[in-house]
Amino acid sequence: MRPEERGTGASMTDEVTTAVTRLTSLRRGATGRVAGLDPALAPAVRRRLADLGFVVDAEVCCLRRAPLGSPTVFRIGETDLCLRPSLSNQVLVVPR
Amino acid sequence: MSTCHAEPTVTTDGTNIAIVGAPNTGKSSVFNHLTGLRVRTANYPGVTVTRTSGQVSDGARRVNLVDLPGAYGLDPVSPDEKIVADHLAGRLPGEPVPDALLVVVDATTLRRTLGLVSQAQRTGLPCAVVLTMTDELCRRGGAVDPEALSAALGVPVLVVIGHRGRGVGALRASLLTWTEWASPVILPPEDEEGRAAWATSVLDRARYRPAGPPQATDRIDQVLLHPVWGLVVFAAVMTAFFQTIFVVAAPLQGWIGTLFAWLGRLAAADIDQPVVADFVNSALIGGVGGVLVFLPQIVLLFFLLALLEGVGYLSRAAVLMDRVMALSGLDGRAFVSMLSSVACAVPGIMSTRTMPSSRDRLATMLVNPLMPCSARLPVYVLLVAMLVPAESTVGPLRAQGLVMLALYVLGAASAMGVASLLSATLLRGGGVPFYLELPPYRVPTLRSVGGQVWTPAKHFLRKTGTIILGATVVLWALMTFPTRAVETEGMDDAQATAYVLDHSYAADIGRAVEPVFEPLGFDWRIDVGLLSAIAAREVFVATLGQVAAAEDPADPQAALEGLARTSGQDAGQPLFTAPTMVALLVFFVYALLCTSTLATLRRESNSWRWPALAFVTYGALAWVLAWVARMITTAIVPP
Repeated sequence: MRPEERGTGASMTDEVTTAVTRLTSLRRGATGRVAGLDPALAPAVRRRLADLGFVVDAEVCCLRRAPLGSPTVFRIGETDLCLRPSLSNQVLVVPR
Repeated sequence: MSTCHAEPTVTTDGTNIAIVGAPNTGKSSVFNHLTGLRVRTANYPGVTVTRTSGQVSDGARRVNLVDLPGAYGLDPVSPDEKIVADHLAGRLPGEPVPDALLVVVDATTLRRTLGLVSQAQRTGLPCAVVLTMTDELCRRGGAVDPEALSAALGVPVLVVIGHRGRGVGALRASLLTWTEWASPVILPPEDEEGRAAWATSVLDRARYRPAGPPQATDRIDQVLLHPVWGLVVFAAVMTAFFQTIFVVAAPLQGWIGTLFAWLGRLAAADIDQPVVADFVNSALIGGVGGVLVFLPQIVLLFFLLALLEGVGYLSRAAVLMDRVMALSGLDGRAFVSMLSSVACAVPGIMSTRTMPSSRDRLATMLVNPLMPCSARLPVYVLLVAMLVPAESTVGPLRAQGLVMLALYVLGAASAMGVASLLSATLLRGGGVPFYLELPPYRVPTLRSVGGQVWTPAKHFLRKTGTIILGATVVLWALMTFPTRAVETEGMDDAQATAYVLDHSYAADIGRAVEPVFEPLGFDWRIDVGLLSAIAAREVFVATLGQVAAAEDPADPQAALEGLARTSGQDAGQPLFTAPTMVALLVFFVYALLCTSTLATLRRESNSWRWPALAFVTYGALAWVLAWVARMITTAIVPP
């Protein structure tokens, strides 16, 4: 992972194939690698996401969306986790 | 786990070892295995969290083991976790820093939970790791070498298979020789990158192969979290849950009530002194019976909740309901808390501790008392039986059942409504975005389910035994004294009792309060009942029973139907008319009458402001809506 790709939301002009995007945009069944967390995230929430497995390079997969819309179930590493869009929007991933 | 009054601090002499671990890792199971039945629950002095501790011993040596709340990390995010962090740092008054730590780690989520292990090691305390779910790891195609893991971490690693209790003996032996635990030569790095690298190297040395995806869980979740089938199953589970209240628990309650009535009559027949006989019959036996009548329902509901949680379904329910809860500004976790309140609001309110945001906690806590709890059930049963004829039906369904259901729905809907209001006014904004771990489906052990039923049931019994018994005795005294022996000479028994009651202290109090409730149609006798319900709602039925001088205070229906007003413009008219009963029912749906709930709200929100606000607001709401209900009923139902 290049340093410029970590922790920022910018996609590199010459890296179209590895554009960083938000976790919310992962479609059902799609996987990606965690690129970082939005810097605007509250520190307590960052810590909690890290404790739950959202560390750089961890593999995350969108399992399913709950009935009635939100929230969405993701598999991050070995853990199944359910997040609302407001939170999954703060996670930056590089989709496969 | 709940207790409503502080108990003396458990002794901290000797060695204190604390167990930490993330939720869903089998930590409580390990704790239960190690301590057996020798567990005591107490409140942290001055703090609001229940602390569970027990003793581990092999006859010769002994250590105190403290079960700390589940925590994903030692950097706290929720109040529960703050307790863990404070306890480990020795910041809790009266709680010494533990001498050693036991870290429970789930082998199927090892990479993630190594973070907690590294934080535990960084506290500097001697640590040992308990590795659970290794059987599940193998089943899913993973593997780990515990000895190599121990060498890599530098601390002892013991394997325990929870539901078989395998490995507990070795763990106990190791625990009792904690001074001999190895410690790591170098501590794991603190920064995120370094920790990740450290975790990778540890897992490599431990020859860790991660488990494959939980296929059985995935297949089940295809159904249970399916947009259509998931909701269907959810509706079925909820229906079954509530059916146990009406179909299973209510008859059981009836039998217990009858048993105690019989016991009461037996005792009264044997005792000569009439005052003492009455005391034993109505106050003591009636009071105790009043408590025990609740036990089947509470036990059943706690059992179902423990089962659903142990299996892993409650987190799915929280996910399914999150969208609905979001409409009121709450989240999925609040649903689970409110569901627990159907058994008793006290554990429901206490379960908000796992919520990371204090704003969410407060919103959920404040609306929990509106959920129809077990204590309201005897009141509903009595009044509905008097209001609706047993035979009447609406289509294939019994009318009485429908009215009961309507009362429950009213409570739940009101809770959501008040939550919306709070979110729009007092508790606007703030809050931590919702996240929830979905553990794989597991078969819970009988032991863990049993523990989750036995502990709250025991505390419920103890709490209500003291408060309800106390309230019943006080009420009995207020209704029996002054004895008016002179004035009642020459009257027959029934007349004498009625006279004494009419001129008792209770009557004085009731009449003083009467103007407040007069527009609702309540007379002083109902008012005395309402005041007694402040101790505990269950007492209302017993009080009415005594007021009506019922033969059987636990089943006063017949006597109450015959009660007539004694004064005012309607003197001589039946007291329990349809509008009055409807008003009384609606009043009970809303009024926050229970002192235990108020006390719990105070403890969990750390101030008197919120319980006071809730008491006054819900009381006013209850009065207004009861009046509205009365007006509507008077207009609809012919007198």
